[in-house]
Amino acid sequence: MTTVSRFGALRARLRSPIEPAFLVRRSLGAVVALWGAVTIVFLMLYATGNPAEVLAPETATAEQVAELARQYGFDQPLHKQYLDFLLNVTQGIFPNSLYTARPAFQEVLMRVPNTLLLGFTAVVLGSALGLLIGYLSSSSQNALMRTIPIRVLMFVQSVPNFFMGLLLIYLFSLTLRWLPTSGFSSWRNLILPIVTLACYVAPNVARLFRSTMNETRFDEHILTARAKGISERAVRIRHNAINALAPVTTLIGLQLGGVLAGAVVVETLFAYPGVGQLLVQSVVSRDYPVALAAVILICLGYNLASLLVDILVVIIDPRAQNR
Amino acid sequence: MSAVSTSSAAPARRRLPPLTVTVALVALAAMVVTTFSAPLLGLDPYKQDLMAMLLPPSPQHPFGTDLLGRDIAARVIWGGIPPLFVGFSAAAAAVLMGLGLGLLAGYRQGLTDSVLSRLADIQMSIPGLVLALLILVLFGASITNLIIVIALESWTMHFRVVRSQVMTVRNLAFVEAARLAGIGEESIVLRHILPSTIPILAVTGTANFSQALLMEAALSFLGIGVQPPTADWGMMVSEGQAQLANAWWVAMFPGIALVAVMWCAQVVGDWLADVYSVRGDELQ
Repeated sequence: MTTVSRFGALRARLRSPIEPAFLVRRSLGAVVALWGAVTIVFLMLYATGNPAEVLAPETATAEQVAELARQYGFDQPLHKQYLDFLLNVTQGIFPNSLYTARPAFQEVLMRVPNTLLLGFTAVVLGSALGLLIGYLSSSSQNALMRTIPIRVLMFVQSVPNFFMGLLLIYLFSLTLRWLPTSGFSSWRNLILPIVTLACYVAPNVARLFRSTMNETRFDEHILTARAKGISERAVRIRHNAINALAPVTTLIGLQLGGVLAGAVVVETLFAYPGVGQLLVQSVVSRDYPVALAAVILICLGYNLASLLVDILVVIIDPRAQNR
Repeated sequence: MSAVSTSSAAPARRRLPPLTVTVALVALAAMVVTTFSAPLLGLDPYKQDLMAMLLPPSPQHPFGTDLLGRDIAARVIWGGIPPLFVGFSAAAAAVLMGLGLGLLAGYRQGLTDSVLSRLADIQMSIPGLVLALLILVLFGASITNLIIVIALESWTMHFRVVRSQVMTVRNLAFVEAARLAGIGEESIVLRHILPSTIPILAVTGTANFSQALLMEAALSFLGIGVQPPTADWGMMVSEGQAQLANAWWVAMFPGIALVAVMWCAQVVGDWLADVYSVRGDELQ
């Protein structure tokens, strides 16, 4: 009898907590959102007038513009053009860059690993720092550790990321001369951009982690754990902190858009060769094909990343998929 | 979440705001008044003096001068106008839009709600700054376009909280009573449901103000927002980046002004959220 029920319990424990229905629903949502994003970009392009004129170099003759319009079907009826646009986007076909004359999509794709490296490291580091400080501020025995780190972090939150980066450059590159100011030639170039971006992630994580831990501190399961005589530290970590992880992970997912925007600013500030820097460069130099490709790829990356985070939330707390 | 409120999580409902909040409110008011009285102070943010290039802070130029010999103190005071104006107008526009659509979706429900909620989802699936870059470069960077872009980016935040608030309130007894009393739908929504959304909107509106201000500053820093020679904090920080090695004051003072406004807005926002017990994660 007992072995059977134990076996059942083990199987229940090993079964994936993710329900297929949730996966399908969430993925469909991501696809619809992406379709919406591409449609908005298409409409924007049309609202300015003739997209062929926008996408052609400024020096192009009328014939060249007409040729480009024919090539990309801008002379077709609108609904046909829209379908073509969707089809081209799904295959990554964009006009060539107006400056390097290389396919715009490849130009952007080349930069993706750099941005991923920056963004991922910053999110992980920022979350780790935020969790640590959030934990300290809710559970430390020492009154100073409870108040000072979180206060500092809340002040950091009100420093715009480009100014934070500038302060770090001033301190570590120009005054102490420890780190390079810009470019990407060694791992040392990565430190300041990552710290700048992590400073954006950490405060919100710390604040939500602290408030969730404080709210659930007197929940019944925690009182039970304490009544069983488990050490205070184990109660805090295994019963209080672990259960506060799911909302924090949701928050991190919601902040990904901010991280991407931050990456655009930080990459430009540190002249770091990522997608964000390319986007700003192409926008400033009116290289529309590259700008379009970058915007669409960023939307894709953002939606994929938030899908992954939502799945992570379900793994941490399976109840989340039924909400 | 749970009905039981604990001593540590209980909202601090005080008659007077705490000291930090009072300081932040006074400082914010002082900065807003100084900034918008800039035209009356007789300071010229454009006067170039090539004999006084990159002078360090001195009694004559308290914040020093920039590469063109312009007085940074004057430019910092003038430079607050675009971010504060854009931040306030964009937040106000976004609140109105989110409130209107949120009331509609929450009260009508059904198809209206599904369509509007989908729209909000799509809007949220495009990172704001990225869309703003594209729109501003296609339609040109002007203050009006900045306000429109930032408002379009942030209406979803208000929409979501208003919608869920309306969905709760519309089924409460007093609304039912108003309906039975034969009061028209419009006046039920406007006079009986709308007032209950105001505290939440105070919180989301404040959060939106600092977000909008930050976005304006970031766009101007990237060179796609406010255009030179207009003074603007974000743009001044960007101008100062090149001179950081030999003239720190060019970037530092506008940056400090930004931090000060952001900090005040955040302290006030946190206090409002505390008073009306709105959790931070609902505002994202």
